[in-house]
Amino acid sequence: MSAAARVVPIAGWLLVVLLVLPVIGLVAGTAPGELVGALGSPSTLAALAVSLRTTFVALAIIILLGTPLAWTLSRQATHPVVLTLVELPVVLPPAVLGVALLETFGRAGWLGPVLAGIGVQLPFTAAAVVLAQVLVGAPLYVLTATEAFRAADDDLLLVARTLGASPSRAWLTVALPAAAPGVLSAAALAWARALGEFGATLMFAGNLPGRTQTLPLAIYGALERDVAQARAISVLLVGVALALLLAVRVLGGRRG
Amino acid sequence: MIALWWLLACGGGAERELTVLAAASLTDAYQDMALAFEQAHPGVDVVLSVAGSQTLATQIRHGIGADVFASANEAHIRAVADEGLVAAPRALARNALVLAVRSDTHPVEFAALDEVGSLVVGDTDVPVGRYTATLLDAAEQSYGEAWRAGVEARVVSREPSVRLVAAKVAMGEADAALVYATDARAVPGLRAIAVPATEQPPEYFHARLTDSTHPELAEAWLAFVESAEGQRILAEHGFDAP
Repeated sequence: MSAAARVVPIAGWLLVVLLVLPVIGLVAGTAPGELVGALGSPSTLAALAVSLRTTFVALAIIILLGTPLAWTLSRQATHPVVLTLVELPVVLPPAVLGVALLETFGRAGWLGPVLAGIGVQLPFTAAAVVLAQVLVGAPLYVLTATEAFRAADDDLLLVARTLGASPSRAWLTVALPAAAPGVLSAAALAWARALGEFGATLMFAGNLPGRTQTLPLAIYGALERDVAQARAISVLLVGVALALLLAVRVLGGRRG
Repeated sequence: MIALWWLLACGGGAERELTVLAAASLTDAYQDMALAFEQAHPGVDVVLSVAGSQTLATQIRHGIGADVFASANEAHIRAVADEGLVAAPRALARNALVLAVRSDTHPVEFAALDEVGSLVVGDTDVPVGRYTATLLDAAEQSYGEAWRAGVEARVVSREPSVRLVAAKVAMGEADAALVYATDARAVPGLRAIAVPATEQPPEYFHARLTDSTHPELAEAWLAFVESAEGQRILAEHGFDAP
């Protein structure tokens, strides 16, 4: 075995350790009693409900609008400008994204009067939470799903068409199954990012328990009050995310 | 790896660094304070780290390695003092709550707070939110339960920082907010409207961290803040003497 062959895996595992250590520190520092206490508190449950409700709506929007875009992008050499535009929200600091959302969709934003004209006021509503989550989650979904769709073979699609399948049937039976594991992990990534969204939500949707206060906002609030509770809610958030991400991996692995 | 570490570590360079943990509402005043202190103490570099007072207390409990703590209320700094992490806290300034509206809109009477379109306040987890709750509790005695219920119904957000509260009104997303007088002054485009005074006004306390690596410099900072010049800088930013 060459030196490089020995060093490379060690370097890789070093990163895994670095990524996992803070999570271990978080879980190890939380007494079971604290966790039960946090889980039983009505404010935590309200935040969990807001988080689950909004992220599922956000994920549905991301998949419904993101899948056609990812498919289109995968079928052609994507113009670098288009790709960069899709990626852009990922590099924007979330709090700045929140300000940008306010300046666009806020009451005093440039689309505010238009929205007010049709009776829509977004800031401080659950819809604002969803919008912030879509903006941070969608780029991850589109970019990952595009890569996954590239695996779908045009020739195979053509064969399915010549065998009499409609375009949509050919897509559902040939293209989608081939890309399914990648698309699933794209959805998982987007969902996880949406679940953890904090800065843009705080700026654009505010912080009202039961309405716009998601788990990350509840954690931030608890940090100012009781660190043990903040830690316990974080463990809950890690648990929820871990369960969903694992489920997606297992599901994707089976199909792949 | 060592090269990367060096890349992060360089950039400091001053001989002596004084790290001051300050409550978010002190941000502007303490930037001026740091400049004045550096002028009076050549070779000293003041590093300001601002956050909510409880966040700062948490950082101290986890050994952040700072020299001075300035808290926006007494409870948070007393708690770390009781744990032996900071020396005896001393009062440094006072603040007041005001009702803030955008300066291009009609002023609102505090008594008519239940009739504003939308109101933003501080979360009860942070000092400004607790002072707000105290103020509203006291006002309920004069204006009645229906007034209080009306005010609560107008609240569209409970922000975790006083600056975020002020920003929501400054950006025109909410009609009114309850913030510190100093923030209403520091955030452009806001008009401050007086509210009834409460028995215990918002009061700031500071102390030296017991594990400070520059204890004499930390004490010099505390003395500077309490000196005539320090108090003049605080007054310029709308703070009252303790």
